[in-house]
Amino acid sequence: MNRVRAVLALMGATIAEYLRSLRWLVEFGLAALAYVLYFRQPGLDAQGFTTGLHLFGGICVAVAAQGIYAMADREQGMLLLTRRIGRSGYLLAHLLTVVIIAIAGCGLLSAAVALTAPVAGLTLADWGFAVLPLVLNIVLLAAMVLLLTPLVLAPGWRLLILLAAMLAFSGTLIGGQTLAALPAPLVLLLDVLRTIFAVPLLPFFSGYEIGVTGDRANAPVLLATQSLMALGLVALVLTIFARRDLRLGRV
Amino acid sequence: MQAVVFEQVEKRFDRVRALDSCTFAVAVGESYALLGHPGAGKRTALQLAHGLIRPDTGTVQVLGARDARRVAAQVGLFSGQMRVLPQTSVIGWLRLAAVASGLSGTALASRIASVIDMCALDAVQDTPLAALPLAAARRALLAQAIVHEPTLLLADQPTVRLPATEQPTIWKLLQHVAAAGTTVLLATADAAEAETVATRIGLLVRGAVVAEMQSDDVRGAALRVQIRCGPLSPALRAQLVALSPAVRCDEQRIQIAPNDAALQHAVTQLLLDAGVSLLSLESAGRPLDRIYARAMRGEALQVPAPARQYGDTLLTSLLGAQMTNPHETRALPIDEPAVEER
Repeated sequence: MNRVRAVLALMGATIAEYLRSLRWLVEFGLAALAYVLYFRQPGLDAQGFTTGLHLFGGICVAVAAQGIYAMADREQGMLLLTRRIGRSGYLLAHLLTVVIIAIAGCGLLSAAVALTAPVAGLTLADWGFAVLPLVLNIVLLAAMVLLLTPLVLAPGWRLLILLAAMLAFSGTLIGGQTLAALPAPLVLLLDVLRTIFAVPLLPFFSGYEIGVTGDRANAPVLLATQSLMALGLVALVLTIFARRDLRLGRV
Repeated sequence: MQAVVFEQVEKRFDRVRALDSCTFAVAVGESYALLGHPGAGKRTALQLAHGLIRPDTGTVQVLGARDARRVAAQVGLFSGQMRVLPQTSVIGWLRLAAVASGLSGTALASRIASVIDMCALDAVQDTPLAALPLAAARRALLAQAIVHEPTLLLADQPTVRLPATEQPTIWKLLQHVAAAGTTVLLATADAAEAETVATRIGLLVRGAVVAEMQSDDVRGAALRVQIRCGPLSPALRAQLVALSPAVRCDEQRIQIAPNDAALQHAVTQLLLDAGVSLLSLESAGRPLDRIYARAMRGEALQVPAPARQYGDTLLTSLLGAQMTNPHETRALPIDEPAVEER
């Protein structure tokens, strides 16, 4: 119980620090920009709205993570707190802060749209159904970004993961004539690697898809997969952080 | 019982060997200083004692546990730099540290009030951490390190970059913490700090403790002292240099070399009589400095007989006399003629 209280206290302090530092103006500005340029347009349908909201959620995570994780990565601060609430509690508090900020941004945008330019055919239930996978994707993305920060992984590992992600997405970069020009064994190897590295990304994209299409038939399985993936990734991040050496910064 | 035990500890960072067969022990309730030059391995030792890193070989035992992480809740860390939540107020920061330590209710409120009082932070408790003067920021860091009443306090270069006039305040606070029964393990490159705060000193040279000694055995006068003060009139300067050939001065600086207690007294008396404010005092060539230099050169060490003469740093003595209560320290008017009355 004390541990939960400590995590909540650190989350509260981090959010308060974020508000006082006026960094929220960046997210707020992005939300305003998205609203003016995209969400306010007449004739925006439900699918267009949820697509936009998912994209905005992703951008919001990236921007918020940049500020909040940098705050967490101040060695002295980290070391002063990390022993008391535990390393997991410390990291979890920052991860949840990013998630809360991103959700708040999406909520703000949704509220603005609902109040000023309601989307035709989008009921509250539809919105709720679209938001559920979005929230899980926000958690997934926040954990992925955290995994790639210097706080958690050493540079070598970060490069390796980025290489794997690049290979997973290489279908859009290496194709057509380029692919045909490659030797057959290399094409086979590329296919295998793409398949392997794309698997972890499936829950993310399937979450996006059910959020946008509202496909309720496959939703339970996909949401469960998404949840498991999010939990697994968070557990991985916490485990790596718990095992690594933490060094005091140079004075 | 031992609070901290290092046995043949080795720790490398990439190709750099930070600690090499490092062995020392700190008894429960003891105040122990690891004195070493930059790069000697002081900080590595503290990080090991805190369980932030693990030894490559050898054993580190903290409060009876082989894994320091298991007793982390009983350890406080006081490091000489603050870079956390700059917009948060001192009281907010202390509250967070206390809650993160598992305190709640009246215990939380009472501990926060106690450390605010002890570290003389009441006037700045609502100030954001980033806006604090350096000395107050350092006291706030100490306050967060002791808010949960740790059994072991690890102090990492607590007065680094602090003005000389502010250092005694932190030293006195650390002495106060130690006097309350907390074991203190101090890592420092400052001989004066080591011999003031700790009762025992370990010389850390190239990752190993090469000698240990009681502070009382090595505490003594510095060979040279330099006093920085308010502007000196030509007449006063003439009076000062007339005291002895060992006294040299320019417009705002007086050097006594070789240092001598009687000469210090005479110089100070002249300054106080003339209403000159004392700003700082630097000393060089303390016995401990000389011992450390010999250790660095790999020479045989001979700890001198217990010194009788304390307080080679006159200003420190003047400040120290005021520091029975930290509040008085904070209020000490270094730049005001009131120093004369003290």
